[in-house]
Amino acid sequence: MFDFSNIQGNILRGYASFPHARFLYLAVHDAGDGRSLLKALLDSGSVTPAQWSEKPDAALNLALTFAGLRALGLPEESLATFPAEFREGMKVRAKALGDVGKSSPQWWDEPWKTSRVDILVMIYGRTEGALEERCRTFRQSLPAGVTELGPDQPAGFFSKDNEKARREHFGFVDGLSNPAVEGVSRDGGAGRSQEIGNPDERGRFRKIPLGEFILGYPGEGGDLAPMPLPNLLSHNSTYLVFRKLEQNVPLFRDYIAEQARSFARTIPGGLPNGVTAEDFLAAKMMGRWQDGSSLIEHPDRPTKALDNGFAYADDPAGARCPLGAHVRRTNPRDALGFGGKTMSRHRLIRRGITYGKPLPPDERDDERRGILFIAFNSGFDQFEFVQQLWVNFGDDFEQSNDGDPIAGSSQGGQMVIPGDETTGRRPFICFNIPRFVETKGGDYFFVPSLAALRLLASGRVRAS
Amino acid sequence: MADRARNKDGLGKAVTFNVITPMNRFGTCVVRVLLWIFDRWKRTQNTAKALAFLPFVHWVVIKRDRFPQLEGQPAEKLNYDYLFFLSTFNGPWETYIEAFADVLYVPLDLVWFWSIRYPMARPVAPLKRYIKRNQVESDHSYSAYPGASVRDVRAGLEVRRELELFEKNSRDLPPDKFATEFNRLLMSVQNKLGSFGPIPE
Ligand code: HEM
Repeated sequence: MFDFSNIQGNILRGYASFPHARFLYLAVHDAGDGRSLLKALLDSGSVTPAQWSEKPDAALNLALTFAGLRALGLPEESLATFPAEFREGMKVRAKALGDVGKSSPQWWDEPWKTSRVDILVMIYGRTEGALEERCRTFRQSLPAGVTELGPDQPAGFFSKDNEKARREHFGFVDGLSNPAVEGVSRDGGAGRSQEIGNPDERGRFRKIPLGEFILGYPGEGGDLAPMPLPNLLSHNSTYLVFRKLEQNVPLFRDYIAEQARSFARTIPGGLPNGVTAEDFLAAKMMGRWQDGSSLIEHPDRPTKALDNGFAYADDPAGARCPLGAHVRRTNPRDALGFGGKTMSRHRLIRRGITYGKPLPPDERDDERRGILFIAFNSGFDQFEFVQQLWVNFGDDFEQSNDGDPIAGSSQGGQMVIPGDETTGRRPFICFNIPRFVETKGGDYFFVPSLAALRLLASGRVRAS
Repeated sequence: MADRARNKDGLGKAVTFNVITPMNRFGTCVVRVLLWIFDRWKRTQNTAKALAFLPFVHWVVIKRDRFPQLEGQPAEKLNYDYLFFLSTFNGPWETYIEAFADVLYVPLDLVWFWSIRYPMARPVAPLKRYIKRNQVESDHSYSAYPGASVRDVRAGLEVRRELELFEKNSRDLPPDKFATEFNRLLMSVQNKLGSFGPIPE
């Protein structure tokens, strides 16, 4: 049906078994050198496709900004066919994305703050050693006309107590839920990701058409995402959203601890053994317990069950999972009705990875930590919709202007934790929620297919 | 462009939407019958009402000789009758068209089929192009509550109704009964308490 070996890796299947990563940022000063770098990488088979015959020790993938495509000498008539959001780049979109105040580009980390990254190089290793080795050989292959913009970005998955599931810095298991895509078999092996499609009229889940995530195929409603020209450049290519999201862990913990005291008073019979009010409140904000189990399936206590097939329709008032919780907003599943038709075009493949050292419980430090948010979609309208309408705004979920309690852009927002008639738990309102997550950089990238990289390397692109 | 109201606090939430498309005489007759049926048969209206980002949808047929003229302005000679679609919506334009095409494509196709060069609602890309070509921007728009979406208005009405009921039922209650009554109130409006106001610019 389609050719996995022509699509770059980490898109349709995640690199869960490559827990060590480093992101390098390149500036292309000479188009010829840029193209010969691509050519050398392709000739040596260094760009990792979605399918391999033998599992490599390290993987390398490339993505380009609009400036990067131009720096490689892509002709203007081709450049003009790329979508407006991509041409503008993430800095220009800052206001629309809620990157304001301390998240605005003037406060971003380097190289994002002062430079424009042309090429993003994503290197993953199964071991630290394999990663370092690949980084070293890559750096040696850089021609004079392509330089690295510092600092590079180390990242990696971490887990708790030898668990398999990986965590993010607020303490939740992450990397669980991703879209189930037509023609793509389940993530096997060490990948713990469990795919979930879009709901249909009967409330069952169906797979999502490939065109939502890869260019050149029909998407929801049979629509083809706009294709930059020439076709060879866009077919099997896609777009990547890269955001450095810094998490303020002490602020998050302090807020939860403080609110949990009053939250506990809304629970008449007290909490089940081993569950603290902090755990419960944090779970209500996320929509999952910290161990990843779902509030829909396991409303009273965490169970470590990582099932992802749950739906929201029989929890309409949010007694189990609040309407404003992070996972219910970012993928409302069947919560919005209409056979999923008002949410089906707003799905994202997430391949985020944490950076910085985890903060042990009850400790404080000045370390910087967070998530490198990585999302793939066949148009930036998918990401921008989720970010603007679902994360930073709440109307679709009866939350009016109130945003996501975990990742939203508002400072001092609120969230209602609906009560539960069956247990007598009363509604609770979290007021004055600080902004726990600040944007520290990132951009919009084009992820060429391997054939498209070859075309870019040849320098012989004609738009028609 | 004044496709939405604006006040000192920011941008209004309701976006106006006008599309004018030409139809021949036969189309005009069919569309009139269809609109008459839609008016009486509530199913389409109920679906439209359930789409809670949709404050208002309206179709009108304007016959070629019924266009208004300013004083002294000569009547133009038109070759077609026109179908005037007017609506307001909350949220982005693209999403609005997509939801329309995905959810309400049957009535949409029935009524617009008779307009010259209508491409059908699905796939949605040609429909978007068609609408862009025939959309007329509003010169003025007025909104009584620019800071309120349809859901905000519905929530506000609900909170008011419940509050009035509470006020009636809780008078002279002893503290423990009052607490029970208050908890009942809170439970009934818990998902209607979002903070609203214009979208900050
Ligand atoms: C630092 C900020 C963030 C943190 C800590 C965070 C954390 C999490 C966690 C723990 C989960 C549940 C585990 C899973 O399903 O993989 C999750 C799910 C998800 N998040 Fe985030 N997230 C953040 C930012 C964002 C942003 C900015 C977006 C979108 C613009 C987003 C979109 C999603 C989506 C789509 C899901 C899957 C929901 C589902 O399918 O049920 N996240 N996130």
